[in-house]
Amino acid sequence: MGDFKLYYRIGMAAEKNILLDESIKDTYHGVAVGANVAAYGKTWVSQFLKTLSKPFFIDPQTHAFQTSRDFILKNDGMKKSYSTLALEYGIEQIVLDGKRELVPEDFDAQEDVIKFVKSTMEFQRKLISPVTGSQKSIFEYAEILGYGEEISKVEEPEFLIAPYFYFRNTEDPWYNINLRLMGCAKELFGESEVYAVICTEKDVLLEEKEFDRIVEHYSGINGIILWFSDFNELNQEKEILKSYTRFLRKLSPKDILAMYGGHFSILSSKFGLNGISPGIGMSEYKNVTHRVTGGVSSNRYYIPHAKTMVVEADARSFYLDHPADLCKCDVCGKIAKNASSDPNEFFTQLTPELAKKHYCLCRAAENRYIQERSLSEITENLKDDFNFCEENIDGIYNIKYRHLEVWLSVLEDVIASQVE
Amino acid sequence: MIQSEKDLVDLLDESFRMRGFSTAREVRMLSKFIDLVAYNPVDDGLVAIEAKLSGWRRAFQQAMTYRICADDVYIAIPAGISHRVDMKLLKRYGIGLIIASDDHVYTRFEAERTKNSHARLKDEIIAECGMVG
Repeated sequence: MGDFKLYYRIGMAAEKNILLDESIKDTYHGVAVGANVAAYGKTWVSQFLKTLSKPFFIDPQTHAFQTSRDFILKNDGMKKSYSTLALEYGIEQIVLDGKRELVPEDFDAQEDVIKFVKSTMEFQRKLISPVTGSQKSIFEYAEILGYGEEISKVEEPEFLIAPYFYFRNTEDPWYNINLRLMGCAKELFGESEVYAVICTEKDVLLEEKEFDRIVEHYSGINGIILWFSDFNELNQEKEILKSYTRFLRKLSPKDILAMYGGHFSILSSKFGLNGISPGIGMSEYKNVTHRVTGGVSSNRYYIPHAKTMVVEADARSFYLDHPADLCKCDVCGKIAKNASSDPNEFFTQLTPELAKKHYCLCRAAENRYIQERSLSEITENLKDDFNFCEENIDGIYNIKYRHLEVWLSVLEDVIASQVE
Repeated sequence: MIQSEKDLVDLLDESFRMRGFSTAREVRMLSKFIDLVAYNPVDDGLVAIEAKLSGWRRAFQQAMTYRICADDVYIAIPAGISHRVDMKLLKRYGIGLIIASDDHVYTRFEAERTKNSHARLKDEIIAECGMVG
């Protein structure tokens, strides 16, 4: 314990300023970049990663070319970022010219598996360090001088991710293809460097045999990234969350990360999870096959007591009646001072960028607290938050907090089982 | 006869207009949409109303948010469910209650003028709805 890793998934060029900000830079471990973003925005992404000089990984997003790929399509064809990625992966003949998704039969031949693994992982490795002849000699010279390791640390991803596909259960043909891709990736790129993604349904967690099989098949890999489709921590039932903690315990002591994740995932560091990679104040979970669209875009604010984001109007409404409870983080503290602690003025001055910085600071503080305290202390603290919400929010404001009760129940069960 | 939320808002709309208010429906306020906004140019008062055929609690929670932009905030519900409403709660937060019955509406109790409405948000709504402020 002690070094739970917060990665932020960068989606828009505008977010880079937040992550580069000196007051934020030390609050997270590194960044995650979707391969489509990296392929389409190669220049700004590689420049950003070089400037940032922090650990990063590239999510290969190979699942996007699988079935039900409506979220990568536009009216007139494939979105540019994904068609660029298809070219990088050498699958343009199938998905662009052939206008179809990848199917399991595309991986029947081992040579096709090897080709796909090479193209997807070389893309990750060379994103910001396309090693040309002259660069290679510079690296070799740097190595002689003893700087080689430092240079490669900055230039290459913290780890490489084997190409992956969504599987419904272990009987799904895509499950075996994932295992073959992972095996091939380990052979070609070395065991220590390769992470695998388990991208499936959360129902798998409820079937002990199913998850035992997965644990066994993924035993030969050092790092795993978990992505349970639509795994919104705020509305999961207790049994699912308990199974999730059991699954983590069975997988550990590997380096286990969550592809997305929120506060409950940070709590799950006590059960073996080592990191999360949500967006900044958004995307704490995601459906594998489709993207939610529509609705009114709105500023959102993280409510520390409820561990959730709410739209600005609802946050304003709550803090109007509870000005003393305005967040005291560095960002909010400064705004509150300028706004003379008037909640309406506070929210007028709170730009979307500042709201995201507030989210980063809260997440970092929560992470620090959880890593430093025992499970019992964390449970007591969560209980305080729940009681606060019961007394001050229940039935009055449009702020969800009932998930705290479920999380508490999960933690209390774990503590009880430890005593037994 | 009120059969839909639209029927309810129709009644409310007519009632406020007859009293000299300018009205607008589905008015955007930040990410929310207010069912009915009524503006009285005489005292520069902006009224926001959340109408619901059922689930008064949900209406109340929505109405609580409208306090950030309006001077007076009401929930409007059919007479048939009014006995379920926690009147004390509404009064505690200054939210007024309008009851609708068949073809007319009446104010069960007045809203308390909010102290915290934000001038900029209120002005934006008045301007957006083309109401003369």
